[in-house]
Amino acid sequence: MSKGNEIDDLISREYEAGFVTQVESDTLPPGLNEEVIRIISGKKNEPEWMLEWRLEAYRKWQQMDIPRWAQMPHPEVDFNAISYYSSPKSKKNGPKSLDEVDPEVLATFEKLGIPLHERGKLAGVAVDAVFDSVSIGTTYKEELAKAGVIFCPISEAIKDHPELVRKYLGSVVPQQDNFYAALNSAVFSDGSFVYIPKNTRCPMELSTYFRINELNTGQFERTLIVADEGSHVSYLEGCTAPMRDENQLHAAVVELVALGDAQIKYSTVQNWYPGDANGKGGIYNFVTKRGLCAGVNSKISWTQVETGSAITWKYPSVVLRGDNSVGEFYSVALTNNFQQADTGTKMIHLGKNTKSTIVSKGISAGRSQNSYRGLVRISPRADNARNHTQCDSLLIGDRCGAHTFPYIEAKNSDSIIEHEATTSKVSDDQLFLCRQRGIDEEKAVSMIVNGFCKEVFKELPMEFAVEAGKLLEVSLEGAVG
Amino acid sequence: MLIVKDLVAEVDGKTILNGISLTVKPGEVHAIMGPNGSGKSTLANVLAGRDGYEVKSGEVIFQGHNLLELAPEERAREGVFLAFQYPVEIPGVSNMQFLKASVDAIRKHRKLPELDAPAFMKMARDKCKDLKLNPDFLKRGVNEGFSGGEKKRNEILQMALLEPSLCLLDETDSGLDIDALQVAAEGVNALRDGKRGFVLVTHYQRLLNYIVPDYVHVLAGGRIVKSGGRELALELEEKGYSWIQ
Amino acid sequence: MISPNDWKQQAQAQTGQEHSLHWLLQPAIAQAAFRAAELPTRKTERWKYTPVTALLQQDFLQPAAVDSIDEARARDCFADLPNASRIVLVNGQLNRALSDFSDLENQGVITLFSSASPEQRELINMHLGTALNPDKHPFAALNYSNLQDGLLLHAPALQKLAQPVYVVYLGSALATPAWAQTRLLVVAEPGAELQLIEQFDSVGEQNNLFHNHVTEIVLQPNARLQHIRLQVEQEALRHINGLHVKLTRDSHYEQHGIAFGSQLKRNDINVNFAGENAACVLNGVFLSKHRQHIDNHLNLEHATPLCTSNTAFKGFVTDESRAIFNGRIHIHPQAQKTEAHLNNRNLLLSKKAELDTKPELEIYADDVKCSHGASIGQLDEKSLFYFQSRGIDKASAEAMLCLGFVNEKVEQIPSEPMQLLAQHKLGQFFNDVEKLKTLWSL
Repeated sequence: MSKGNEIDDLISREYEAGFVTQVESDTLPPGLNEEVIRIISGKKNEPEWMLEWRLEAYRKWQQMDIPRWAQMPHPEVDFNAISYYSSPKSKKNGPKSLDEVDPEVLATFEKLGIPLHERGKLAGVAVDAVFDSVSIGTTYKEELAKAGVIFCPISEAIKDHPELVRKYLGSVVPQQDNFYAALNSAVFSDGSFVYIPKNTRCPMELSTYFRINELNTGQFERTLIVADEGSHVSYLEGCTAPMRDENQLHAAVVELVALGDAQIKYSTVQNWYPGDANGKGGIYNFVTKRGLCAGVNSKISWTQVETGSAITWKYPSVVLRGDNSVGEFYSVALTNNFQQADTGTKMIHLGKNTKSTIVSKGISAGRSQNSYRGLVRISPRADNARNHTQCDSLLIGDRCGAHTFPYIEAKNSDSIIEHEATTSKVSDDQLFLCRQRGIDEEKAVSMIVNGFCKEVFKELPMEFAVEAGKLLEVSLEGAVG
Repeated sequence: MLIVKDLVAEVDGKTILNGISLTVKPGEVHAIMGPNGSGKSTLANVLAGRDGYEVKSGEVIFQGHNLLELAPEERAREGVFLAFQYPVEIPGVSNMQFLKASVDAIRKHRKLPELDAPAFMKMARDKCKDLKLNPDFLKRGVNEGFSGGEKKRNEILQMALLEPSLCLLDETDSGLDIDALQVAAEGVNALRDGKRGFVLVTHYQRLLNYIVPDYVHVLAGGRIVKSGGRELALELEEKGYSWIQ
Repeated sequence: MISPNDWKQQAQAQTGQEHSLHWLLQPAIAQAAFRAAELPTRKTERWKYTPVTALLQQDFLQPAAVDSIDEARARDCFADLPNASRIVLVNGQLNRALSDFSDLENQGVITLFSSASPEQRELINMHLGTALNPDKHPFAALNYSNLQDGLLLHAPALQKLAQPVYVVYLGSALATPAWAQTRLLVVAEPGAELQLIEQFDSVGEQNNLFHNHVTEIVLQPNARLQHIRLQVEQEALRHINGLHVKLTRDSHYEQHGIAFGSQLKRNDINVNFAGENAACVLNGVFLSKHRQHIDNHLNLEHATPLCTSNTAFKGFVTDESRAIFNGRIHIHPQAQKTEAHLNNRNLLLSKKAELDTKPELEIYADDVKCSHGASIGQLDEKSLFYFQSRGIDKASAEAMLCLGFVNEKVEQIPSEPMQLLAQHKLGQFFNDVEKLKTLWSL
């Protein structure tokens, strides 16, 4: 077999977002107790009700056990070795505008291709940039305000829009929902808040970019998006972290609420540091994402491209409460080297005529393990519910694993549910056809993989579909041989 | 342009080609005929460099290069084109995308400037028209859900786009009805320009009614047992292969 | 009601083997496994949808008494298999009057553990427990812990048994709750070929029986077994059933099953591939009505290369019943070139019924072809319309489609007398399913 050697050489290609920014930071010493929570709340000048809510979550968290059902072997996380708050130092109490942000931090985002000025490549996309525990700036605020759209750091929303935050925070993911959601509820530092008023189509794509920089910190962001009746929003999140030998914890919570006739499209390109080729380092990505289709005819659509993190554990879900509501989940999860991904979705059909679609594409390479885990539940009230699920796995190499665990629970005889799953590998015949046409092996594999993922990529906003394809290519380097 | 000398090749430890010698000069069309299992397709695959075929001895010189030392994509870039007997499907990758990647790689190798997308698309559409293929064909996944005839015409389309100097056609006629066969043959004939060499592998002589060869070789037991002109194919059709062996 | 722990301890106190079976090695292993086991709760993944509380509510903790049985009614249950060797167990005990297998008994093909020869004892010890992991199956561990007797079916090498072996497990009406624990060990020597029919049935109403059964099958190289299983007991009976198959090189196992729900019914089918080029076909249909419960757990362990498995189960669920299907395909790293397909199609016909299905793929080898599919739905509108357009009223059309759905599996049963028996039993089952009762006789 002649193929492969030159490809092995490419293994050494580095994680491009792996640099560290040298910036003076204000970081809490590691450890978690009620005092730490009071300090976090104090640093953000939070109202009393918010502190109480956090403390309540903390007390619940203390009673909970670490979930172990996903069978993903990893060293125990020492929750007292993590620092729960870190922010780049600034002269005043938080930057008032982007001009006051440490230029090093701005340069970091520039280097990552996330321009925080309102021009250039991503012109027309409003960005909220979160650096470790704080939001350092949000673009296009004024233009959005004209349309009545609120897009700001959640810490700001707690102060400026308490009625909205109190009404919806924890309404989709309760404090005690699971171990990591409870931890997040107690210590969440920042994240984005979005409110789209009635009958408003958000004039531009919204996006939040998350960056972990500090050593030994965890990132616990909290995102809340509320789409009021008849409104429409498309939101994208991206994430990266420096290369470090230590594992770092990321435990976020995202809550989406779509009222009657509202639509939310939430896209993620997750590229946290996956660890090196020997499995050292990398982010533990333990995330709870859930949307509630609260109103009639509402729609929530999740699209995710997961290429990063040492361990990914997330199930972006939709609770279909409103009649005629629609839930969608489109996912590409790629694992290489020693990465482990356990991801999928839950579609909980409560309303009548509710519809859900699940398309999951898993690609495993190296020694990685990649699982789809999903639940489709049709409740007795959900007359005429429909679900279609398609899970495909692609294996590259014989030391990885690809698994499918779909739970289907039907309690209504008017429902129609279909689930299909297949497993395949990149075949020698496909590779030979490409090579006979002059296309080298690496390019051939990436073309085949991109083709495999096409159904999902077409759901991404245009600019990001291209990014996602490239990301896949980089993540796959060294996978064949 | 192509010199094959005493080529011996094995598949799974079994000798399939047992000393093949063949010289193809620019502009010539050679037909390789023979009964099933005689090694016809193996010859085409060995020349293209498919994995799993082990060359034990002999040499293959193509335009001064030792072909056997090159990876399949390098051979393709040098100008060797294999039209497959059973073109494989690649779901999700559009024909256009695939062809562009291929043309780009080959043009780059030939130090030609990369074609921009509109120019490429125009070229691809024109070639489609010549082959009586609906241009929608370019948007579909590579061979995905194509009929047998469409797959074969897709091979000819690629050949037309890549402008190879040596074309190996592996049983291009199999599975084609007479109309499809004519269209494919026209496509091939259009590429005969006096410089390009052709090796046609076929079981039946009917393809040779449309693509008239300069030479016909009969393969049996991994060797060329008889060579001749066009008339040899007609003789074979009349008398069958047993007459040779 | 007693706690799982108490139940387990009391069950443990019942374990031990008959003195005459002192030579058996398996009970000691099973006892250790059962001692270490935890009885399943809601949190036990493999029992998530099947609480065993119904079982724990009653005191089943002693063997059923050898009861007299209405022989005429018992014979009514049998399929018309005139030349088959028939072995009949009533409440777990062999009933010689109803049985007819002296030929094969004399040839040493069918033997009771209690009358095994020294060679047969060695054979039983060599194979019993090799297809089954008692640590994963607490009720099978309980079964082997408490070994009073057992059946050995030993198919000789390079021979095709001319007639099927027909084993009937009958439950009869009991005055007080009790258990019956039965087990069948099948060892097919290299090149052997046979058909095995197992029928789980009952005579009389108001059954207090908990039947805990294990069938263990070892196919030696090139052996072929056709296995037909009917689980058609009346619905008061509780039944936990484990089928454990070991397939060595070039062996071939084929199963056709029909299972009715009952107050508690659990079927574990576990196939272990232990040699190259073995093949397994599993065909089944499960039906539940009233407030019945049926849980099918299939597990295919592809541990060797070049094997194939094809699994197709259908479910028919109505009234207020609940049915579960869990089908797992596990491809080990060395099992390259495996081809494994699994499919579960279900008809869910009532608003108050529930169906939970979970096909699973766990794959650690890359050069494999695997797929699974599951669907839950109702009758196909297009087919209904087609019937109606030919003048058939909707109700009749629906009934015919339901019957067609089930009948497809009946027609695959490779034995005409068993097809007839299955249709007879299905007729009884459908008798009080509103839409179907009038039509089954068509």
